[in-house]
Amino acid sequence: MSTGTDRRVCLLTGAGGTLGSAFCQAYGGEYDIVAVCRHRAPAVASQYEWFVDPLAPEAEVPENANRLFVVYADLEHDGEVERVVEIALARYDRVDLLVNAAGYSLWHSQGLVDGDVLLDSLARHFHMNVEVPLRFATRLAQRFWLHRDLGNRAANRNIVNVSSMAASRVYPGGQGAYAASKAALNQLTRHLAAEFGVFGIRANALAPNSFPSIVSTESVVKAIAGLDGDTVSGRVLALDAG
Amino acid sequence: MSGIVGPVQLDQMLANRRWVRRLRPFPHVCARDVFRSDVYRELHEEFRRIEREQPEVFHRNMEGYDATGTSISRFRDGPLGLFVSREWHDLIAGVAGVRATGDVNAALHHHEPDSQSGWPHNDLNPGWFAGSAPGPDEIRLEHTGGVAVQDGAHAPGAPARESIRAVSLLFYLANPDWQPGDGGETGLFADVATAHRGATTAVPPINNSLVFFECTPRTWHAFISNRGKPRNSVVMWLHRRKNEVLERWGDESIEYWN
Repeated sequence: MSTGTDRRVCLLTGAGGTLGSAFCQAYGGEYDIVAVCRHRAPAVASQYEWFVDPLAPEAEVPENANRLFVVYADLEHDGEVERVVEIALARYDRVDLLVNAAGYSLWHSQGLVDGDVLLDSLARHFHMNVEVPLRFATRLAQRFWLHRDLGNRAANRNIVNVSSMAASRVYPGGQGAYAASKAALNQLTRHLAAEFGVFGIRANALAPNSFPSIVSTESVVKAIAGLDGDTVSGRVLALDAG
Repeated sequence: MSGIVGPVQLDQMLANRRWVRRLRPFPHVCARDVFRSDVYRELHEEFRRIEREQPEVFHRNMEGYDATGTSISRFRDGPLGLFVSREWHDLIAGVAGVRATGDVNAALHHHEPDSQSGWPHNDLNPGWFAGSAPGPDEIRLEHTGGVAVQDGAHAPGAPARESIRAVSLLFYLANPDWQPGDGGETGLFADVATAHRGATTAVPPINNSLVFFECTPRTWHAFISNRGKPRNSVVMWLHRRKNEVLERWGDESIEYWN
């Protein structure tokens, strides 16, 4: 079902997290957002929750004008990515921007050799930070983008993978497993750009330092929208303080 | 604000005009920063004053509910009278979309640190009130006119009327700063079968916030154990005519008091 608007359709994973929630708040009026949430949903009007003025409960509230379309999904479970893609396409007929913001991170301050904590976390890191973004990109390509090269280019359709500065730097605090998965995501992004460019889909990664402690969440959100409006592909865009 | 004198001017007391209506796990409404800070401060201080000066009014008499409580009716001439005003009643009923009778049961509840979790219940209970139905500007409080609110026991010749809870509301006040992990939330459950796995949604007891919902046979909710910090709240129920409940859900849906 199309909404009949000319807003771009964004499929956003990790929508209930700090970054996803900020993106929804900042750009809910500009995009039709399919907000993929595990438990928490952003504090933005959706089909599941909306604002009401207690003194005029029947009155229209401006904040309800652009409602998110929330899909609850545990992306660690088999078949969930495919279910989300089907729902998104059924709801909006298209996806113009895929933002892979869902992720997993486990830092173990005693490092890689301290017991099995990080060893045991490796598969989960790679599943959530590499396989799930790849699976979303692949399923969207197979079910919508692959045979629409002209339309994709006209609509400037693209993928933004949310990576991390940890992918290219060695930080203390036992980030080894997390950092390796984000490094893999960066390289995967370059391959996506090379392969998906044939049918007009751009792919980039955004690698911010810690937010909101070192860089502002707002700047990360802006950078995502910036990549969506750009023409670059195959880039890993670092975002650091200053 | 020092007590309820004349009409309650809610438009001048509310701070947040964007309450959130949520559908999951069942329809309910949440709001933070409900009242202006000066209004909230008076409510907070009144609760603290009662705790300090009249601790004997808090009684432990709620089966399966690890809290002490006292009726607001005895404090209705002070700041807490706001909660038993007709204006507040009508505002809550309007947002909930319920045709309420004007019968109100309202209390202050206090959970000591490490109070036990409650069991999921739906609040679709009867409430007995004295006299004929209140007029459009009236409120009828529990335990007035010699009528026992739960079983309707009353003196011979004293008219008593049974109504059913229509809206349950909790307003959190006079609590220590809440942090995730502190517990003390109000758990909302999609069903009873999986309640042992935890609440579907947990509403934290943040000062000057509220949660309320229309009572139905499936509005499962419960207090979640609080670790190390007390939890204080105003708990209140609006009521509806019993016939409405019988027509919508049948007599078997009503949770009669044992």
